[in-house]
Amino acid sequence: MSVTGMGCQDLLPEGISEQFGFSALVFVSRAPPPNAGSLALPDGCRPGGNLLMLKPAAPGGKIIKLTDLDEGDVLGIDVAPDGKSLLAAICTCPGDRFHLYRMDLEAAEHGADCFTPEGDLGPACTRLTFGPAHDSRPLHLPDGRIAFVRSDPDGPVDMRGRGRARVLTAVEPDGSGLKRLDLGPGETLGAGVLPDGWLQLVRWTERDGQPLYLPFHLDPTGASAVEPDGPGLHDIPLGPLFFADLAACVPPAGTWGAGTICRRGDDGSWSQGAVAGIPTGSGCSPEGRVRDPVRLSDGRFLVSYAHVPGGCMNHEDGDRGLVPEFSLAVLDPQSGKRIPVYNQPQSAEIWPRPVAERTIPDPGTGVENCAAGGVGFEGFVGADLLGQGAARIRVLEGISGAVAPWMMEIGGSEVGAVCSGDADSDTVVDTWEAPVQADGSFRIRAPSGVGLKLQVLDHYGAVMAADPVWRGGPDCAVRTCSACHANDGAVSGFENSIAGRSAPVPLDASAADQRSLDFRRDIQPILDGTCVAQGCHDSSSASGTYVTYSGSIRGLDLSGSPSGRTTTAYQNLLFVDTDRDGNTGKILESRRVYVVPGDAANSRLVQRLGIPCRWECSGQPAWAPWGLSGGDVHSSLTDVERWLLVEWIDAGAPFHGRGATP
Amino acid sequence: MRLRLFIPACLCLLGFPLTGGADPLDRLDPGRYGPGTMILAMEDLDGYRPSQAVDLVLPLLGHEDSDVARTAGWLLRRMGAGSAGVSAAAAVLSDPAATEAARVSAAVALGELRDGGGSGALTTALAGDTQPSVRAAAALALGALHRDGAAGALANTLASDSEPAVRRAAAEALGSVPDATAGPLSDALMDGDSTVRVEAAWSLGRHRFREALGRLHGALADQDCRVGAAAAWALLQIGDPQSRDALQTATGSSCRLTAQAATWVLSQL
Repeated sequence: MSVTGMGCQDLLPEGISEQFGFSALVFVSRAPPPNAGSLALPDGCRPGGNLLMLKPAAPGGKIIKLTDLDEGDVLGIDVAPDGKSLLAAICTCPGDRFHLYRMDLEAAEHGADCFTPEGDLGPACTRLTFGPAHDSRPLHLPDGRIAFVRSDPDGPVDMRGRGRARVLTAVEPDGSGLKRLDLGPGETLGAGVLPDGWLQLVRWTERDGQPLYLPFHLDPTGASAVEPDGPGLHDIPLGPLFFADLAACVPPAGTWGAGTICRRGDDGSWSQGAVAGIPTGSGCSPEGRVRDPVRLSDGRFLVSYAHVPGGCMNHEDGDRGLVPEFSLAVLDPQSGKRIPVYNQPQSAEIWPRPVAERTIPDPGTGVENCAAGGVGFEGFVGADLLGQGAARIRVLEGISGAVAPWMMEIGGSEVGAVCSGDADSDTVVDTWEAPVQADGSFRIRAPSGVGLKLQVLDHYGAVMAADPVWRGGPDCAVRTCSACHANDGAVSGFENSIAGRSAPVPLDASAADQRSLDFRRDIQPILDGTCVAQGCHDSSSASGTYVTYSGSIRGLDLSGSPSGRTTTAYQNLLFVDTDRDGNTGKILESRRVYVVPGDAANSRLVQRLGIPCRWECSGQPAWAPWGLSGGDVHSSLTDVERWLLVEWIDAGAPFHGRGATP
Repeated sequence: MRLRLFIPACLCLLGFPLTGGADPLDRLDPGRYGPGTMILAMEDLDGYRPSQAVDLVLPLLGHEDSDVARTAGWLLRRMGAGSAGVSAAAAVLSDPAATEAARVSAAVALGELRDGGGSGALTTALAGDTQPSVRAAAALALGALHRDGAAGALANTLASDSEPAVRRAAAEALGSVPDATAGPLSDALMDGDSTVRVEAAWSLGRHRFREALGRLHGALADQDCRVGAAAAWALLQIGDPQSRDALQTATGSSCRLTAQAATWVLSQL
């Protein structure tokens, strides 16, 4: 690690760190791109990338090299909500893959290495992903997990046949629990966290032979449906969204990955440019273009600014041998005025992220009366919801079938022990409500290790637009809402909020219906009406042939005939393992059981049904990854039926659902 | 004379941007335009795939920017002109007068064409081209074809090529060809270059070669920590409980990376 003085001080603003509460800026310095190219080209490890810190982000600030890679590269960073660590996608040499690393910022700043010269990890870093996949563009999720974009050599094919698709994926903070988040066709180009805890993502897909870029809202737990957000567009929002109507948008090709900031119009279209002087398309932009915006609290943006003197900042510059110069700047979208922050010739400074240290209680100390167990949730509802009359938080079980004694508290004290499920035997799952305080703050304690949904209700009990989904963590952990909001230096201030200081408030256990899926009632009819009725997966058919461990060949029987305490279909879906050669154990086709309870993304059933054949399947080998066949022959299933299957699996694939007749 | 498709304004209504302004066919001239413009033009052409594009795209298979060649191969495949593309790219690849960059591009394009007809030229280049960059590109392209028949040539390269970058590419490609066997990849875990050993471990894991368990257990103690981590990942893919003891030992490795990987694998095995 090295520390160097910062140049060009006379061009610097008066100290964005002081102005906005940042302690520093971190950013990526990459080798300039070889050509304007296309987003469809594979992400390669190009020597010349490193992670840098500017501290303070002000005149006189120093540049600190957080990594010192000679031949490595960095493809995405995200600072943790507490500002103490960051996630980075790093490759260490040509031919290497991008893997996710967590870096202790304080350690790295004070000289601890992320990598040793011998190729080992240094004390500043922990590696979170392994293997031959490219993992890039990491993102902290509100529930503590990490989302990222994975391109797996054995993963689904990009629908345009340019290689492996980039798939939005998530892991637990320690790198375990890999789960695919986006089950839709096409591939994910970028994602950001919305104020309600859902993700905004852009999916690149193809319709009628034409590329189409579609913005979506996605429940990061995968437990709720994906919602389209506005019409398709050609200017792609790639970066994090900090407000519902603003997004980073980039033309699909030809601008070195830079674009502008877009505003969503009244018609839902994202094509309205919000930065004076910068167009939304890929036409000539003498004023340059921007990427990776971070919204500052005064309405300006911290951006990576790309400019070609005398050029257009698009593909035409390459025709004349001109290359762009990337630098960091603060941008006023109203006037288009830019204030330079940092620039190093011969390198591209991108992905600027402010570091704003915040106090977030450590697990084990943040929850009072921790001996009772449970995980705390605290934070604020969004100002927009508060203004619309947000009054209560409703808590529902997110995963049916979980039976765990648990406690809830309001204002920091326990108010009673309840059990999830149907405690009052009225055949509907219990839910509980807690008030949203006048300043928007709330605090509850929920069961650990159980999926939860928190809904914001208005004074009349109606669910408002926000429907955030959280997940329980280990006992005594605290999940805060800080990751829902931009890491923009604002002080969370929860400790001084009404909920943070309030006396205990009794729980209101008014019940509300929650769907509780039952296999025989809800799922078997779908199978009967399609898979079985069409004669493909009844007891005498051979469709879905698999080889048992003993070498027997069977067809996948999805009939509802009784088998043991369940049914044939249920047992086959949950317990038939992958297709293996009976002698060698070598995988013949798939790698997974048909249904992995709680994990639809990794369930073969969903992969077969939900991922239609997207591209020239006939040219693929039989052992190729899932998603290459099956979509056509399973087309009789409706979207609603497919989503019900996904919901059932993510709900733990229960056989008996609560509320159903045993 | 080349017939030129009139590009009407209504193409915008068809749903793709006319970002370059001019007819995309006109933008395929490497004498006038840079890589970015030509790549963008080919992206645009994919929207309506005019037959006139084939003759203009074929020469780009040997363009010295491999991204241009890759895109050209992709477009020809999408247009159903893969056979013509194979002939053109193979000619560049086998032309001793072609530059090294052009031959690399031709190999990349042959992989992108996904046509089995390209296997012969790629195999020849893999064994005989004088430039390591060309041999490496040929190896990766053979992997991209995902077809039987390439494993033998790739295994020979993995065992005997003098250049680590070529052996590394061969090891990576063997992870993608169906007829690969465990032996050559297991042997490569003893290669003198650690990047080759990493790729070999990954490919063994991708194929889930149970026969390689012993070698992979040994690789956990490789002096290069990246090899140990790759071996741990491969053992997770194979998923054999017999690996637990070796992984448990590796959690105490002096290599932080190997120890982290082993711990991570044990939590999921």
